[in-house]
Amino acid sequence: MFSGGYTGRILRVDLSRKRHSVETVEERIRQRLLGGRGVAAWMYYREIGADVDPLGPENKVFFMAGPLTGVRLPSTTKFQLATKGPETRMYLCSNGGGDFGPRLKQAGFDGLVIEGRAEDWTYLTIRDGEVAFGDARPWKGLDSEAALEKLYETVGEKNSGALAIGPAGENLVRLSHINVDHRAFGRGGAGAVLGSKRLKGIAVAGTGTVPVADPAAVRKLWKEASKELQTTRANHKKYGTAQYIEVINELGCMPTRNFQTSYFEGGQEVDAQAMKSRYYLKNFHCFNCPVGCGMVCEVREGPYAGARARTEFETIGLLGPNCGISDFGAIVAGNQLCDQLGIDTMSAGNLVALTMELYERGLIGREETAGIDARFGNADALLGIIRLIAERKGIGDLLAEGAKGVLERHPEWSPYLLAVKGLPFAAYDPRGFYGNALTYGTSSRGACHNVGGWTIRAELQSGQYDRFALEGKGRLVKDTQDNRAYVDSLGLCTVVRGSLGFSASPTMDVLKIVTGYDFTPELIEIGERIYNLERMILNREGVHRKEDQLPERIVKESIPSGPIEGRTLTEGMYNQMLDEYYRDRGWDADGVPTAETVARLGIEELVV
Amino acid sequence: MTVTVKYLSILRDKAGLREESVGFPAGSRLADLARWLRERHGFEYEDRDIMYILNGRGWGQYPQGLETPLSDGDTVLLSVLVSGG
Repeated sequence: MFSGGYTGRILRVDLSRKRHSVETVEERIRQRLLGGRGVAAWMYYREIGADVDPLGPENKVFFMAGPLTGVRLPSTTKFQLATKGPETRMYLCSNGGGDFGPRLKQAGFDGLVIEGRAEDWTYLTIRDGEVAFGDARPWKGLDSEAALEKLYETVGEKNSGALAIGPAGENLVRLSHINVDHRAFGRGGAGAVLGSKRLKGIAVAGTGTVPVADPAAVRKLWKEASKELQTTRANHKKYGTAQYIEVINELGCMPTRNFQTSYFEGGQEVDAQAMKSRYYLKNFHCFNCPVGCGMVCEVREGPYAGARARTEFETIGLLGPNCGISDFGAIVAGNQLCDQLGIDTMSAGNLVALTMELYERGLIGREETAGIDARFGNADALLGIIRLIAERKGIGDLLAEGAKGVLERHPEWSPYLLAVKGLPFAAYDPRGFYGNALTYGTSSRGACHNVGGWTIRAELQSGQYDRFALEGKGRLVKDTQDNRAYVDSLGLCTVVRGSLGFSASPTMDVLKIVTGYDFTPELIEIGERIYNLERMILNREGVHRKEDQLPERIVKESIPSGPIEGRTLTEGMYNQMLDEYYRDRGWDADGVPTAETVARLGIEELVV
Repeated sequence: MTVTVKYLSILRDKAGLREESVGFPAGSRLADLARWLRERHGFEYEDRDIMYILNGRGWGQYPQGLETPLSDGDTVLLSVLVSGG
C-alpha cells in the first residue's frame, strides 16, 4: 500500500535488560491512524494500563514520527510522544520539533519505544540502526543544554539530533520537559518519566533518506511551498509568535497576575516590537524550515545581561504578565533558566503566579519561599521560585508535584489554581473566548490550547461563532480538535501546514506523492478516530464529565478590568457548551464515546 | 463623534503609529472608516491578512457588516491575522 513516507519499523529499547528489538506496525494501523500522535496513542492503549505509575518502571515512552517527518518538504520536523504523564497522572501526548524525529527516520525508524528502568544513569545512541548504551553517571546534574552538547559529541554533529533532560527531570519534578535539539516536549512532565528511568538523553544519527513515492513531485512542491512561505509567513519570520502578545492583550485575554484579570497594563514592555528592538539576536530554524519563527533573544544590559533564550508567545504571557512582570529581560532569563533546569515554561509560569498570589494573600510567607519576597512583578522572585521547583526546595518541593499534587495537599487553594485535569492553563483567559473554555475543558491532555483545539481566529472572524456565544462552540471545538489530531500525526509543523493544504478541508495530494496512498479524503475522520481513541484511554483512566470541568476562578469570578471588564462564564453556561460538544462528538452525558461512535470510527477492530 | 483606532503588531509598523483618535460625522458607518483607513494608510478591507475588529468583535461578525453604524467612543483594532494551536 505504501511506497514512501514510512520506514515501517519501530525500535524498542528495554533499559532494564539493556536490550533492543525491532518490530513493525501493520499497514492497516498506519492507514487508519496515520502515524505520530495516532499510532503513539494506539500503542499506549495496548500497553499502558490504568494503574501504571507514571514514574514507575512499567511506564513507557512512545516516540512516534509521522509519514512526513524527515521528508524534504518545509518544516517536516515534528514527532510525537505518548506516555503516562507525571503532571496529570493520565495519558499524555506531546509534540516536539528539532532534528531528532527526522534523524530517527533517516536512521531507519518511524518510532522509538523506551521501557524499563536503567540500573544507573544511562544515555542511548542510535546510529543507523545500531543501538548502544552509554554511561551517563558523569553527566548527572548537567543542565539540559549542556547534556545535548555531550550527546551530539557521541554521534558527531552531522545528521544528528538529540534529546535530554535537565536536573528537574532527574529530580522527578512533574513539570519537567524533554529538551529536543533546543526545542521541547514541553507539557505534562515527560522529562520526569525519563528521569524515573535514569535515562539522561538519547542521540540519533542517520545517513539514510526517507523514501517518497514521487520524488519529482516532492521536489517541485518543496520549491513552491518554500517560496510561498516567505510571503505567507513573513510576520512569523519577523516577530515569531510574539506578534500576538499585543493582540491578545488588547482583546482582553492576557492572563494577568494569575488570571485575576485579563489585561496587562505593561503590555507595551513585552510585545513583539519591544522584543525585536531590544532583545532580538537571530532566528531559530527547525529541520527544513524556511520560516524560522523561533526568536532567539539576548539580554544586553541590566541584572539579567547575558541571558539568552528562544522566547515565544506562551512563555512571554505566562512568565511575564501572568506573574505581573513587564521586564522582558527577566522573561528571557526565566525562559533560559527553565530550559536549562528542564522545566516547562507554561506550567512554571502558572505555578510561580500561584505562589505569588498565595504570598500576597498571606497564605504563605517567606518561610515557605526560602526568603523570597514573592510579590507579583518581582522578577528576582520569578527566577528564585523556578529554582526552588527544580531543586525541590521550600515550597518548590510541593510545586514540583504539579497542580494536582498541590491541590491534594491544599484543597483550600483551589480558588487560585488554574488547571484542568492537573495541566495548568495556556496563555489565554477563556472568559474572553468561550470556545477556548471548552478547548481547555475537553483537551485530551488537560488545559492545552493546541490539543484542545485553538478556536480564537474563528471566534473573531466567523459570523457563526461570536466569541461570547455558547451555541455552536461544541461543533467548532470538536472540528478544530479533529483537525489538530491529524496534523499532529503527519510530522509537520502547524505554522506551515497551510502551504501544503492541510486545513480543516485538506486540499492537496501531499500524502499521495509521499506515501503513494491518497489519505486526503480520510484525514478529518482519522483525526476524529484518534481523538476518540484518546478519550477511550482517558475514560479507562477515570476521566469523565467531572474531570472536564473548569477551575473555580473561571466559572465564579468575572473579569474585573480591561477590555472585557465584567465578562463572566458561569458553570451553567460552560456545561451548556459541554452538552453540545458531547452530543456532536457522539459521546454520552458523562463524556464516554457511545458504542455507535466507536463502531462508526472502526476503533474496536484496531484495539482488540 | 470620535473613534479610537489601534494598530497592533505588524500593523503598527505599517501605520507608523500605535493609535489615533478619528472624528467622523454622525451617521457614519464602518464603510466610511474602511475608506478612511485605505486613504490614510493604504489598508484594504479586502486584505485577508488583516483582522478588522470593532469593540472586540470582527467586523464581519456584525449582521450589518460594513453598514454597521459607528458610535462615539468605539474602539477599532487592526490586527495581524492571528493563528495558533
